[in-house]
Amino acid sequence: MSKTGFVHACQARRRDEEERGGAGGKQAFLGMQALGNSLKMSNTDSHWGLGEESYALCFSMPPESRQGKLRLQKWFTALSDRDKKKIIRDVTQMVLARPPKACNFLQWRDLKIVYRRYASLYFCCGLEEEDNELLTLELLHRYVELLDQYFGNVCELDIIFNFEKAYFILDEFVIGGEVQETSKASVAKSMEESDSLQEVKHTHTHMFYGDFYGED
Amino acid sequence: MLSNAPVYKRSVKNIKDVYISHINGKSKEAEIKRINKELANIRSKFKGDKALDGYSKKKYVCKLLFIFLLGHDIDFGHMEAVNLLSSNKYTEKQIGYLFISVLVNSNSELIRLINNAIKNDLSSRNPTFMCLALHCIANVGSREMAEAFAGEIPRILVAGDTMDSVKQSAALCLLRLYKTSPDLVLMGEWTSRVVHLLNDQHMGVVTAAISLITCLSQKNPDEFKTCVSLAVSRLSRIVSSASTDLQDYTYYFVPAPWLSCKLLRLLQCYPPPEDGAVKGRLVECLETILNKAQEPPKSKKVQHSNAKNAILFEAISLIIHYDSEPNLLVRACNQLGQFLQHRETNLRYLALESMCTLASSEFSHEAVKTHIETVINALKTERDVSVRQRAADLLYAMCDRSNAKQIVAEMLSYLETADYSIREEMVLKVAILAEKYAVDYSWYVDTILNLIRIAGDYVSEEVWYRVIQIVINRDDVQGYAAKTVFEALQAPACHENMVKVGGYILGEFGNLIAGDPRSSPLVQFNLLHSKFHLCSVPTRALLLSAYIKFINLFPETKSTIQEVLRSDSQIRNSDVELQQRAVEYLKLSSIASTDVLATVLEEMPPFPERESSILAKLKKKKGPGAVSVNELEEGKREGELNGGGERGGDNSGIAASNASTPSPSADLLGLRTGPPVTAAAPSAGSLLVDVFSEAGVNDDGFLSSAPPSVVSEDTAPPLPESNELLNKFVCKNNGVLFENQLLQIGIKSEYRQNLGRMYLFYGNKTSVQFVTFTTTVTCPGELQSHILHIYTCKHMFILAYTCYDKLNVQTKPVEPLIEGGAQVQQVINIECLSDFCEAPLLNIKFRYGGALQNLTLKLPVTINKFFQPTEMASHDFFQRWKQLSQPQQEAQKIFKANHAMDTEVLKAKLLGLGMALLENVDPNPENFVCAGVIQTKAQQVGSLLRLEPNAQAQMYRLTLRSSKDTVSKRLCELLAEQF
Repeated sequence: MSKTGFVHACQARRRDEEERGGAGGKQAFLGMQALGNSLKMSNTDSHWGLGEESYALCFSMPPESRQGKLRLQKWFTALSDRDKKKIIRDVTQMVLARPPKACNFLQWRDLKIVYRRYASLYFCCGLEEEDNELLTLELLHRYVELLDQYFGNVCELDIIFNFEKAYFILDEFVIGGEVQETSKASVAKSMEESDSLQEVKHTHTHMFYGDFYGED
Repeated sequence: MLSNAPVYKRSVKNIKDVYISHINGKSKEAEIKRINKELANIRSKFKGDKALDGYSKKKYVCKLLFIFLLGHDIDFGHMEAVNLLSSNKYTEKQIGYLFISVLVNSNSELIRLINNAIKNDLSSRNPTFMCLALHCIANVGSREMAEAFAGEIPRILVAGDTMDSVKQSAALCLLRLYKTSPDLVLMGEWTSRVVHLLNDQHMGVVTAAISLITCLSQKNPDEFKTCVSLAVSRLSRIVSSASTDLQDYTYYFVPAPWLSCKLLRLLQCYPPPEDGAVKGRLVECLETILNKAQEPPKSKKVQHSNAKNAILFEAISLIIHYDSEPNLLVRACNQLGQFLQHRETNLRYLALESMCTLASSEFSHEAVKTHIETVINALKTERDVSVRQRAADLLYAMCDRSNAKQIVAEMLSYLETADYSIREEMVLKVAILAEKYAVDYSWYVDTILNLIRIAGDYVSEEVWYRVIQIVINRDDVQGYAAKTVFEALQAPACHENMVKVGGYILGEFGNLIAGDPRSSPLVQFNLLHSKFHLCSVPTRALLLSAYIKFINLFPETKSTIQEVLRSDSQIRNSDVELQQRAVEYLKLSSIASTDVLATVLEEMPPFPERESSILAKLKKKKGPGAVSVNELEEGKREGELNGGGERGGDNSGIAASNASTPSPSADLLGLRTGPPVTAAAPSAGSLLVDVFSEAGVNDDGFLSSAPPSVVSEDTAPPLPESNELLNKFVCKNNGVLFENQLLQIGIKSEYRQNLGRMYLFYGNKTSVQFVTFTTTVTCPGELQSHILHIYTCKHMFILAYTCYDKLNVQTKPVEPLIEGGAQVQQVINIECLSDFCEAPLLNIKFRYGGALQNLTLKLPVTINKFFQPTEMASHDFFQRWKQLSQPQQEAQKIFKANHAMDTEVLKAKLLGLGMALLENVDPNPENFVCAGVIQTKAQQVGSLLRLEPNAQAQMYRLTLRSSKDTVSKRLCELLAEQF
């Protein structure tokens, strides 16, 4: 991806935080010990989830409004848009209301919700009764590792502006709610192959940053 | 359009602006404005005359996706995305597929176009394209896709030359299709080859394939039996491998955790292996896994321990599933016991959860019980509410006679500080345990009263109804209950539910403690009355009923109570219900003789014993999965133990009262105004009618001490008019089945052969919504040889099947909520297995403004609905008529006409009956003859009918002959009501 684009965006954000008195600034680079590579996140609380059996979500939120903003969602069962919206709303609220150091599992209706927070980004999965919670927790971790491996220092903006890559990585890793490939090397290889087929390598991201709102 | 440097710079600023405003939520309007502008722009590009090149199309489709992910609805661009699929540029194709995966519904009309593109990509032999197509199928997973590809994908999966990555995608894609449309994925030669993928060298292929195999073996265990030994040997190889053997499949020093867990999960589809060698190897594996838990960790990272423990928990699940190795079960239990005190919250949570299932195994139940102190401690000290919830669940699961008192006491004390979110459930659990393991009933009464004292707000009606049912049914506890409740009421502030229980119990059994001067009748009355003004209307109504009972129990309180009833605040109360009660009770107490009073206000008869309504409530609350069948049965058994009385003894018509009057006060005593007491009411009722007709009070027997059937949420008996309603539908299939002030039920039905389908339309006539609207179809008497309710609950849908010996009725669920003025539809499928007489019952329950409405109707399914008309000539008719000449084959009735004897109307009715109306058969043209065959699954019953009207006498003679006596009789009964 276009590194410069990312840095620009990130610096812009940090400047902005400073202007606002740095209220959320400190949060921005905390909590990354879990990962070998540092995963830098913006200060926006954001959530994601991906569901092993049932669905996957990804959302993020402005911290002051306690309402998640969805960044990525993936559903493995067919649901109506209304149901999806309701699930997203309920689960986001529940997860955000959790105190720190609480356990990573929740019961919601007949689903088990597994979530994990990376800096200010949350990943959630909804599982069915027989699914393994701990392993799903590691599934989320492995996905973050895969993102990190692909993007370098992955941050929320990577996921926002390169959402398609985030989806492609997820498709390589999980299909229909089941783990397809757990090897980091294999996923990396697939992504590499797919990127090598891109006609003009950076056009895509460029296009996206370039004139999304730029055309009048 | 193509970006260049200046634009790029400008746009970064733009993105920044938008993004910041986006996350701040400050200028939401500005954001929406910009998005709309962008959408309009994209729309105009798509609609423009100039054909867009692939690159632009991709760009705009991608923008649409981006906008969708920002949380805006997208309603166009689908066609452009589909166009991208046929591009031969990889990125364009990829974005097209992504858009479809994220935004296309499985029922979209575009599916056919998409399928075409997928078909091309699948046959392209380009692995990258094939994977894209397979991912798309797996993501959308619609039935149309299953129809198109369910045959193709297995071939790709087992073909020798398929690349590994394609195999992986194909396996999981097939799994998704199998889950959506199992009927379309046909087993075949490929199935055996799929099993052998377990031996594949590529770990990724095994990981993917095993999910498919697990799902397939759940449905076809025999066909996939061979996978057990393969899985065991694969597992054993992984478990015994060193942590570095599997290279990239080792996750934080744990070899292939995902694969191991999936293997263990697959084994849970089967019973323990029969082959001794395989079993030995498996037990060895399980032991190794248990041993590894004791080894020092190879890494301090949480990922390492999580992966390791994930396998451990899966192994424990398998051990619990086998439930045959006491040794392993106890080891598993000890391991979980260690986890109970682990510093990781996640592990404590999971240990509590797993122990819940262990508690139900006979081998480990005792071992689980040894951890009771730890669990109680967890309940008290855990900081996380979801962990405390699990602890409460486990206490509930490990409870038995030996520790019930301790556990109930702990749960009660926890209730005082419990989180609001789980209080109601806790209350139900305490109430159930107290009832289930009550050895002496004074303990039970104490517990429930404590429950009301501690968490009165969360004590639902079911709980306090139940304590009253039990007290009334067991005379050894009545005195104690009266005494305890009297003491409890002395607290300066007590919960309204306590007042209700107190009012009821003292009203019934106050005499048992009246001997003590400290609880003399007047003291009791004053105590109750001191709470009166603090209570809501329904409770006051109940108290008034208790007062009138006092007059009967203690004549010396009569004047005091009459004084109270006479006071303006009662007799002129603005609430109609209270005012009416005050007036009527006052009148009753002054007019009726002591004998009449004693009869009317007699002690309540024992309740017919029924399944604990609390258990049903808990079940409803947690979703059907939560309470095991075992538990339900146990509940029933215990219920019988506690109660005695016969099931469904005498539910008199009073239960229907809730349905006919939308009064908000549910009345325990069955003392309510309004509905007439049906013939089933005991004699006291009719006696009263006399009293009141003399006194000039115009109310039909409102005070009968009819058995209290309103107590629990059990099904009401059918409405008195339900037979009439049923008769309305003998000759027609559509119309309004029932109507009152609240609800209208319309019906449409169609029948073919022995099958029928009925559409019920429930219309809410009020402007207020009906909540918890549920309908159940049951069958009375002879139909009910066995009733089977299968509940599958996924995403809150409940599907109920009812299966009868004679009628097979399948209902689809209705929405639990009907808005004011709205109508919902329910479909009922009916299969007639053999001939029958009784109509199935349709029970409808809902809450309207808080009051439970419960009504039961007869579903208009009568045997004649399954008639197949048979045309025949005169000669044939009489020949058959003669063949059916045995006396029991004929049923005859002579009856007076209820309607005008119009020939055309009669014809229409007979045709509506479903038989063929035969012209020119009977020598007398006034008479009607009909012929038809009743189609049931078991047999066909030919029937002949002859109707002879006598216009002068306004009488009919109806004769029916059929090959089965019960059919003739039933048809005759049904038809006699029609003319």
